[in-house]
Amino acid sequence: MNQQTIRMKRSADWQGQRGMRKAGEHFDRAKTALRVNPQAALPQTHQQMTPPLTPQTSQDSTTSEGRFPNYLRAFHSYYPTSPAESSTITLPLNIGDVILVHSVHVNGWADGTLLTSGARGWLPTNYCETYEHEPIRNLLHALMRFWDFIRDGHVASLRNFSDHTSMRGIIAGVRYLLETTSCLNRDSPLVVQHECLRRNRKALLAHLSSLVKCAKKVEESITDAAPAENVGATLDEMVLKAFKVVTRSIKFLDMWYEETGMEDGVYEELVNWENDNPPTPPQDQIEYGIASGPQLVSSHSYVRAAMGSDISRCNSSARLVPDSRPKIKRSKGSSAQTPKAAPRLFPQSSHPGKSSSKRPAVSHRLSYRHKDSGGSNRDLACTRLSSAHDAFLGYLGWFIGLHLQSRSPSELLSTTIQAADSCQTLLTVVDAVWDRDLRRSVALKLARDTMFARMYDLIEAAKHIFRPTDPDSHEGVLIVGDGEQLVTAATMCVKSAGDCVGKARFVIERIGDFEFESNSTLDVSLSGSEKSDSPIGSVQVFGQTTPVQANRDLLDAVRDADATPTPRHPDPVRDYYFARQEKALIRKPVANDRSPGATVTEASASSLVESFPLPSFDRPHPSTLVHGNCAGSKVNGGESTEKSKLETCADASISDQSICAKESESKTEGDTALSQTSTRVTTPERGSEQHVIIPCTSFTSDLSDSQTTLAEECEDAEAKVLEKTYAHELTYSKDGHVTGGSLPALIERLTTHESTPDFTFISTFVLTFRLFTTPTLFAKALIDRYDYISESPQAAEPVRFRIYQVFKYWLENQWRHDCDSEALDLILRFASEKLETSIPSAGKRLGELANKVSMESDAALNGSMEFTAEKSTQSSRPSSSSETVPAPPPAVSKSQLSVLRNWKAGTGTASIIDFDCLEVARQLTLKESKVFCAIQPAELLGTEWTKRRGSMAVNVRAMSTLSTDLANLVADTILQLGEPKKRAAVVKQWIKIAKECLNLQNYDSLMAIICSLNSSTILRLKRTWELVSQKKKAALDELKKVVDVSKNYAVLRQRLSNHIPPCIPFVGTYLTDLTFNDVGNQTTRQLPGDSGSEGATVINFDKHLRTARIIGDLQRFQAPYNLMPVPELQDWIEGEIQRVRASDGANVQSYYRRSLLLEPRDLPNTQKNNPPPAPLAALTGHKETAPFWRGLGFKDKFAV
Amino acid sequence: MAQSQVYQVVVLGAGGVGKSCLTAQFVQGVWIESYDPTIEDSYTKQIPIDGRQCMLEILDTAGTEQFSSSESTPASCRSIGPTPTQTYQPTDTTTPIGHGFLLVFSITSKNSFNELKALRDTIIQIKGTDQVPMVIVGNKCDLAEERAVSRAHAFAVSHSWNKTHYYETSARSRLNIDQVFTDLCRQMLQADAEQDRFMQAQEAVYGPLGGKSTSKRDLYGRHRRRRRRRDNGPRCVIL
Repeated sequence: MNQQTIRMKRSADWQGQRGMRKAGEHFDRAKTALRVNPQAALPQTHQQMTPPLTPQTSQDSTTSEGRFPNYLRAFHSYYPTSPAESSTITLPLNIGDVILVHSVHVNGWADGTLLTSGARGWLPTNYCETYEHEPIRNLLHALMRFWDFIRDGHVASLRNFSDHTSMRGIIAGVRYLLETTSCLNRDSPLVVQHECLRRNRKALLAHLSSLVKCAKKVEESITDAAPAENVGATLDEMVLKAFKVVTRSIKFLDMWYEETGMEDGVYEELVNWENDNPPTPPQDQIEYGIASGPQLVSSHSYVRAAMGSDISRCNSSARLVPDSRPKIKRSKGSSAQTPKAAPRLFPQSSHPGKSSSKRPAVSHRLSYRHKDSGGSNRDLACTRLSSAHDAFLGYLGWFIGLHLQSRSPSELLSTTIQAADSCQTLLTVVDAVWDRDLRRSVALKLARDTMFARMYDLIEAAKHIFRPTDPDSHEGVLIVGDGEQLVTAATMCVKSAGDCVGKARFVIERIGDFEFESNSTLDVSLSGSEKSDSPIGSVQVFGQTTPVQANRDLLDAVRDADATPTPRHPDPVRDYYFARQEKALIRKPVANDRSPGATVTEASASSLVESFPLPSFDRPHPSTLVHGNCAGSKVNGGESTEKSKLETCADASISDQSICAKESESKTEGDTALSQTSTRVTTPERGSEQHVIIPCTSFTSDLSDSQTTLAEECEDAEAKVLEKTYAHELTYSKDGHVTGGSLPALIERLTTHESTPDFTFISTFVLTFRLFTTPTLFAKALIDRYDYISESPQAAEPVRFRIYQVFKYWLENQWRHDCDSEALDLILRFASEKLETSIPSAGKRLGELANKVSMESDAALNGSMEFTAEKSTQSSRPSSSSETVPAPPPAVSKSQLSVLRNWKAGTGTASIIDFDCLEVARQLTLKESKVFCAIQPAELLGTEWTKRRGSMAVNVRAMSTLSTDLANLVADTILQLGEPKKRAAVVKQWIKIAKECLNLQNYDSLMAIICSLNSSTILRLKRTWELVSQKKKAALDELKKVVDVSKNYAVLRQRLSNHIPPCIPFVGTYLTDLTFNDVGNQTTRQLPGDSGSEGATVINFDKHLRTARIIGDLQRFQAPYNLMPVPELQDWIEGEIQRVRASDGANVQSYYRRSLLLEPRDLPNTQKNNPPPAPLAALTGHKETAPFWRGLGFKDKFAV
Repeated sequence: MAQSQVYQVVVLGAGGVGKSCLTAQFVQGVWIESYDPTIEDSYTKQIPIDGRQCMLEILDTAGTEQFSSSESTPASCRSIGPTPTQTYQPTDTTTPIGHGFLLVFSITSKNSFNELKALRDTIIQIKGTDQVPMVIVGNKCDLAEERAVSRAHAFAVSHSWNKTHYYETSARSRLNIDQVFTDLCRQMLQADAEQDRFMQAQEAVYGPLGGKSTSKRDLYGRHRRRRRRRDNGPRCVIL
């Protein structure tokens, strides 16, 4: 009894990280002891097994969270004893088995995948040790990445698979293994001497070759996009093959150690647990049952014997095998489970009912957080978000697949309902996330509103697709191609949903994941069948226009319409279908329910439409988005379209499958459409489903005969492996993009022949390489690549061509005369001596280009080194505004022109109020546009523009000067007038000009004008503002909102993202972004090394990709305006700017003095005691609320 | 959920004093995989002040120092220009309720220190009072051998500016970064409370100003909860 208490106490300790840590140390010692002679320590029969002791004291609270070994190797066999228990999968272990670990539970059970069989389940970590050897480290890393990518990546990201990055990693890993074991060549003495090494090497290569083949197949099936049904199976096959390769490699390494005698056998050599990566030995406070079998029992003495002096303490600590074994849901076939019925993933014995409040297992691989099949809690927001997103995409996929296959309208109907429903679910989750966020992310809200609007569009489109001709056509077939609109709408939905989920996920990452408060809330969001009845108020939503609310309105509207049918419209069929849809929304059985629905009117249909609240911001028009992508000859735009298309296809095709299945199901069951939604949502466990099905036996047999069947493929793999590569020196993001690497590795990636050229990568590299290397080194690295690829004949040709292309791109587009000349000789020599021998035409062309550049260089040196506007206009893209459309005629009257002429002749004066504000805005825009379009990408690199002297960023500087001049001009024109009335007139004029600038998408001028009007100098002119009408003040307030700095210019950024060039964005935001990108990101990053330690330092290419993205975003807008210049007006503006600049008062202080002279301050006494006068509140357009007053901050900002 | 309040911190200083680095260090906190400055939350951070959470939004227009009217004026007129008037952005959920200023110079550059005076004058002129939450920051204190502004001098000057607190920081080694922002945030909270008292007094004289009762309650509650500042004297933190 007493013992029991102690045990309890200690178990409680175990729950904490510290406990784990401490235990790890002890366990460590225990194992070291064990390793001396594992066989000797082997078991006698005992009733109990004592795992390592649990510490009672816990100091040392340094963070050790989430680190655990990626691979384990069993040093003792383990056979689960309760196979009948269906709710958990416990893996049997054989000595020497290697396990890929996904997560480790605090009780010491690890969720892992057995490499030998591909089976996944729970296994006791204290039967295993960390597996890590230098020669195989790269391969193991590569496999992990591969697994994360395949298993946890979104289907959409599989398109990246064609990049071969993960596959290359494995090949490079094998190569590295063979290289470090000096078995790379078939003829190497080691291989020749040792027959078994030779055989193993051969088998390994055969497996590798078969893996590569399999990968090709997958790639094909993905790019084809059509037979997507097989992708899943092929992927499984590929993963298994990758496992085989690794298993073989491990076997090879074991053999190698044995043969070369480098180590005394593998098991003894195993790397120690690191102190801060503690293993978590299984333990539990509950006595384990008799059923637990003899193997466990035997282990007891095994440990006990080894523990030595610790033995007495061990006695009282916890069990090796807990009764409450972690559970993995075994989902077979189509037996979907509701969330309530789903078994808990983790044991709750110690904290029944409470364990859901924290995540019991930590996972160190990020991807697992989102799509976890075994490790994470289902109630977590991110899990819920993912599943809701999946479900939604599933239905949208049906729409997108519409053009591939004809469907019946009833199907369309039910799917539309389901889609609406799943959208609703997703919105609920997003709302909950939004609500949870203290900062009330505007971006998320906008994204959410956009998604909502898209869904609305989709429903509209679905409505339109019904043909009014045949009243009974619902049993007919939708004609292929008919639903183009639908497909577009669905595609937009996919896009906006992705955006929304991305933003939500970001918010979750920032605020930390959380559990949904109550299960009832979840039931509302997940089981559609209850939705319309249950109180939805428990879900917090945005103000009044919430989707839930909307849906209720909608339902109410439908009910009303249903109750009082008043047919007015002569188009009953459309109404009929729509009515059915509505009826389905209120959860009436859909099937065979015709007549009542037919009476519902168009009115009700439109009420449905109206009850969807529209988002408050301008919705980007579909055409806008399309245009945005194709307008500029910009690389990024074009590519992203392609990518998103691919993504959509992949999504569509995958989900199509499941939808079809669902459809057939629904027909037979006659169930409501809504309940289908809930089952779909609750089956996100792709990973676990698949691994359960994998037959273990087939694999093992395959292994044995592989040597003969795959022998002929050896040669191919041999060649692959022999290919020199730096692929192991690359780092990747979780979605498979290259984020960093050594220079040779990046060059290799730059010139890879295995995928289509990644133009973004090339342009980014050539644009930014001067930030991390020199032109000479870059050229040398390319030439090195040329040299070493010659060793592998079949790859040489395409790679050489790629090298040529990179050189060509550099010389043609990104050559910088000021610093690149040093590499010119190198390139010339390379062209004539090397390239010309392999690809004569390319060599010749490169030589020509280099010579041409060299000549230009000389010219440039003689002239100025600066970027001139001329050069840039020639290189800038063709104007997007079609030349055929004539520019709008200038709004200048004859009298205005004569005023200007008089001014020029010096015989008269002109004022800003003399001119049409539209025309002034146009001329300002033309002026800014000229400078803006001249900005070269190089000016924006490495914070060039901030250099105090010798900055090459002339155009960026000119831009800011112009902007400042304009701001000063605004202040000057106002302050030069003595009468408040006249000043008010000028203020009004500037407000109007600013408004026109906004219409012209000229944000730089807008910013300058608003900043000036907003400055304390102008804002304090109370008597002037009193004479400005409320309407104008309201207009100004709107403009202020556009350029508002808060939330990182959220409004401005949102607007810009939807604009079509030409446009002049506020350059300041780009400069700030670039500055922060520069200081906020490291220039280097670490390669993953051995657990804990950092690997080699490589270039952080991700930073440069970001830089290039920001610059590309700016370049996107560099298009000329289709406006007619009015030289007279331009001259006048320029003259005014010069006048202001020349006046000694062109600085803030002197403006302020002038302002004080015009309208002197009140006595301080009255300032203190007077509340801010009422008109000021109106000036700001703010309601009189307490925060406003507080927000005023300090007393006399507005006081006279 | 209670309405969240955002305190805005304006970071000012000449170009090249490392203010963007200061901001990035503060906002990022621990080292993260990659930093994206283009998103909405790039410059917001929640910090605990005396037991309660404060949301700070950092307004740092680093990189746009060129956007000034001329050489002789404070470098960041552009950045001060719009900000004070944005004290009251009428967004529906978040209401920035105050401003604090970080005046940053580099201890290796005398000029960057001298520029602060003009910046401070501008702020005071805009705010109309010298009771502005403000902290003077001498950055790059890791470069001791290149020091051009002595600690004593900087401290004396900041003390003469209405006892403005002075810190020396190193953005590179993340020294004193959080302390600077915490101090400033405390000042803003205090200014906020004083403003509340002022408003109460105003209300006593002129009647309610239309403020909603809920927010008033919230306001008093907050006031009660606030701890008293332990020291109001000048402060020089040297680590």
